[in-house]
Amino acid sequence: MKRSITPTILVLALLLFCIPLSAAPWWGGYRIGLDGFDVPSISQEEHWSVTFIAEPIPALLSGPSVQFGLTMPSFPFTDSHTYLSVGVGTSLFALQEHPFDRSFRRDSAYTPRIDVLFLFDVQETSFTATSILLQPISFHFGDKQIGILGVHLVKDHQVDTWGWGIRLFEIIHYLW
Amino acid sequence: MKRLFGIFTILIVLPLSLYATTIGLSLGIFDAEKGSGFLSEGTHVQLGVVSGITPRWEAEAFILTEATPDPFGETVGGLVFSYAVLGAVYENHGTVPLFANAYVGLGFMGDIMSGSHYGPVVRITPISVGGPQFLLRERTFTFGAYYNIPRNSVALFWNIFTLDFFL
Repeated sequence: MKRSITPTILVLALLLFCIPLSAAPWWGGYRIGLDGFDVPSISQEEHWSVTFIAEPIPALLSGPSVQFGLTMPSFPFTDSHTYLSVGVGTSLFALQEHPFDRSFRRDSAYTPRIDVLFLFDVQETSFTATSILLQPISFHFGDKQIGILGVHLVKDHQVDTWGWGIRLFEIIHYLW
Repeated sequence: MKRLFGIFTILIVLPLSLYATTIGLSLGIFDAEKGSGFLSEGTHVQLGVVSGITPRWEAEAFILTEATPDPFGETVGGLVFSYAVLGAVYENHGTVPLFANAYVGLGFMGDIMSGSHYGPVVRITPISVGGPQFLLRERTFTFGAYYNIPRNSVALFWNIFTLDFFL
């Protein structure tokens, strides 16, 4: 009996130590968005934004994030301009009791976002534009975040004017 | 033009009034082959209503409209009947439907603002997850072909992502 108590305590202690590990919050993943712009220096074609995203304070649903990646025109790639995209952003708040809660099969939180994105033209090695991306329709599902109909307010640094755009759809999928 | 608009209105209303079944609202992104005379460059969104006709057949009435750079600059309407390839979707007899499915569809599309193009359409949705019983469905990588009758040409198109919210 005595022999079995020690291993039992050890196993229980090990399981206890593992609990925080399994509940570790997500901190990073990828983010894919589909953008359209009305900005002189950026073509009017659809653009795919593919970035890595990391959240320095992962325990918060509405925490800040940093990201880097590429924004590129979609198929059939008639526009040759690809942009390096670097940005910071945050969800403004997280509302778990929201009107669309029953429309989703998974638990969700309403998490409107704001991001600031800097776009550098890879081919011309120039600083093309700064975009303030407002996403009023964005939902957090734990391991992923989905947003639709976000609005870009874009400062075009090449011709010194303001433009706009729409992020039709985006998904942030956490991997780590 | 008015006649074409009237036909589309009837086609949209008809599936809603004939069948007392689950109705869903769809929202997606849409793009087509450039230079085909179908859609101009820019981004386009698809908004529609989807409704089950039989356990495997559904009707979808939708409009495609330009989002950028000229919102609502061109608007195309369409009606497509789709068949669920892998199993019944609109099942009301207590059976559990498949969570994943695929669809093939046939229908008709046309520019409802100018009437400058119209014609039959065929489309395939290889990946679809969810359904009416799950309140939400995600259709991914839909692609198809549109025969533009006035121009006598074929344009390829694709919806990379469409969400259906069932009421």
